[in-house]
Amino acid sequence: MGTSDTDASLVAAARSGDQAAFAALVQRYQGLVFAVCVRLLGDRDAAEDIVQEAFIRAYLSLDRFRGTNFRSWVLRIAHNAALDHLRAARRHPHLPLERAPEQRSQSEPALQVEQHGLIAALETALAALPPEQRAVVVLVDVEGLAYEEAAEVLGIPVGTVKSRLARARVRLRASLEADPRARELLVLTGRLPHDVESAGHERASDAE
Amino acid sequence: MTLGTDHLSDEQLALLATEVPEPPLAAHLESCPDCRARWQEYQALVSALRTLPRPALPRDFVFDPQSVVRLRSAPWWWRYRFPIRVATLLAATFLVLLVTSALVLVPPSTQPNERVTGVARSPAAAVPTMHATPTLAEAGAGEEVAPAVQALAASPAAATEGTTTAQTTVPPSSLPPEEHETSLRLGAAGRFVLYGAIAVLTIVTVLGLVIGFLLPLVRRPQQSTHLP
Repeated sequence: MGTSDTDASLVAAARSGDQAAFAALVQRYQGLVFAVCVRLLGDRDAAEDIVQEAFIRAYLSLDRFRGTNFRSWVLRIAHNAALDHLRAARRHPHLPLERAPEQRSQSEPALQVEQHGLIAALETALAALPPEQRAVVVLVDVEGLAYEEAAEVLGIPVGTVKSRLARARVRLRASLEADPRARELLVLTGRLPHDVESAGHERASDAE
Repeated sequence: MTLGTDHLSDEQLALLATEVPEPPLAAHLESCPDCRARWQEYQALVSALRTLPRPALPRDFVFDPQSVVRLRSAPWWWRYRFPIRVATLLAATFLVLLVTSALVLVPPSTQPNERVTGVARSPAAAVPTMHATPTLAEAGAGEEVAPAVQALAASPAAATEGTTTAQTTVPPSSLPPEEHETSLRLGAAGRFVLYGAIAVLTIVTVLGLVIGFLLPLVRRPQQSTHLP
């Protein structure tokens, strides 16, 4: 199975019993599904279990898959399983929700120290969001899904996706603003112009 | 939303970070340094979020489909076999009760053919029966009768009147035709319901026996484990 095969053709082949076709689908989306689950749960071990469960569920339910977008379908299965896990974790508080560890791919090039700091600050701010807002930010801002696809994954209207996303970004910005080091990192990594950074400092000093 | 001196809300600016602002909003962002600064902060935030590295995969999630085939959920007739069995036994019980009732409550004398004959009889058909009732003169023929009766019999007009009077006073030997017909029609409806219920219960019982008892025996799934 080549990388040029469309999801629809792979799904059709998998339905007809082609095991390599389903393996190709798993390989295509396992990184995305794992990344979303890790950021939703903040727990790599739980995310690993849920990703495996999601792909098994998808395989066993292939006959019931009526849509055209396999990616959003498998993400939806994983998201629902992750929500179930979060609910169970809330019912059993002795299972701690850990922060997402800052692990990066070994094949990734070495990042600047500033960028590492910014990533850590962003991960911390993300982990502090309520789960429903975190899910929207992870899907739209981190993974780059369109509003419509995120709405399909989460099972909510597009308008709700937008409103949750707006509220989540406001919270994230407030979290980063509270951390002067994070603001400096945004400037150092070239994402925030210097004049904006100084304006932010002025607003902060005005507030004091 | 009012533009000009009023600033845009944080939620508006947060959404505008990844959207092209409409002309009035773009004009405001151009003229308002405060809103523009906040807007750029949101753009920087989104830009930073998009560069977050994906966590490294702990392993390959490709699995052998054969290893999970046993986890495939059991067919519906296996999952619902116990409720189906209970429903089948209930249906069979009601079926026995209804058949017994049908045998006891519908006596052989009230066979449908007979009843249909009774229904077909119209009031006009009953007229000869009424005329068959003897007149006073006929009733008294060959016997000693009272003088008044004899006088009545001697006068044809009086006899006619007397016959009419006598006919109206003689009670019919059976129910009036209309009433008889109504009772028969109700009986037919009752029989229809009874036989219909028996037919439905028979079908349910047979299907229940096949799906709830026979199928699980013949095609028992290898594993009925549900997914975790």
